[in-house]
Amino acid sequence: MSAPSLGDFEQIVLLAILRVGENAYGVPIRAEIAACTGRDPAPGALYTTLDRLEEKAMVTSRLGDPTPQRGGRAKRFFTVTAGGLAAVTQAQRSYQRLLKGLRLLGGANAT
Amino acid sequence: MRREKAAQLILSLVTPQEIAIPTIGDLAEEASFRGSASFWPDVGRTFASQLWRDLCSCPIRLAILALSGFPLILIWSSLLLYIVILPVAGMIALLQLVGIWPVDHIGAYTIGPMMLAGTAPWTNWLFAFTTYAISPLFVGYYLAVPAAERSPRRSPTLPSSASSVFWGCWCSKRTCTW
Repeated sequence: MSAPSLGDFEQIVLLAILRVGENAYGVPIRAEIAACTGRDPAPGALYTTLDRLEEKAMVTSRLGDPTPQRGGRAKRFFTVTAGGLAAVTQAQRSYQRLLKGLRLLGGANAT
Repeated sequence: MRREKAAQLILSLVTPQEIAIPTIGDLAEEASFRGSASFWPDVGRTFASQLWRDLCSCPIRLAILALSGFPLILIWSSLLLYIVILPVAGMIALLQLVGIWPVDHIGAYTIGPMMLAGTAPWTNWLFAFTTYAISPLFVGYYLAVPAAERSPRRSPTLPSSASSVFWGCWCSKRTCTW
């Protein structure tokens, strides 16, 4: 069975969650995306994408303990599910297949 | 902290409370190192994204429920007119009569003409459009939310009606000559 399709930004968010690891909540996810892609995602786009990914069962979220630094507001931590991992892996493999044999800038993918 | 509570209230209009709270926590945390100027724009953008997403995901249901929101808005607007606006307009007119309230100040120049005389038809039309077209959409949006998510949300009837009145006042202030 093929994994459900993912949009570009959904892939970016899933990969960022994977990179951040256990401490993946809104702030570090956004920072990781900005650091890796060079573009600062709008918070609205990030949170709606996270909600959408959760509806698709590609991520799960849990609330942490409230912290005084955030005015007693809990953090919402995200974890990529097995389905999310399969979907992003499949999407990345598709990209790799498309890139194979192409001579792009730098020539790294030319085989 | 008051700022975060207000933002939380705004965001909880379009997203469940359990999501609004950590989201505002994130935005407040980011504002602490990005600068507080980023807080409200980020809240606004998050609000717009959530609202747009829900509008796109259930447009037909929303439209149908918006129609059911119409009588609610009608009742609310009537209540607003007779309980709040007319007494306020009357009080302002009285204050102007005794010379306490400046004649050219926002007051009888705006609410009074708009509600009583109708001297600026296009602004009245705008007011009516905002009240009877936009506000029911908000009510419809509220009704379209699944019951499980509805309870933590604040009814948007009050803020949408208030914004309608504000918008009507603003338009009337710009054009009314009475």
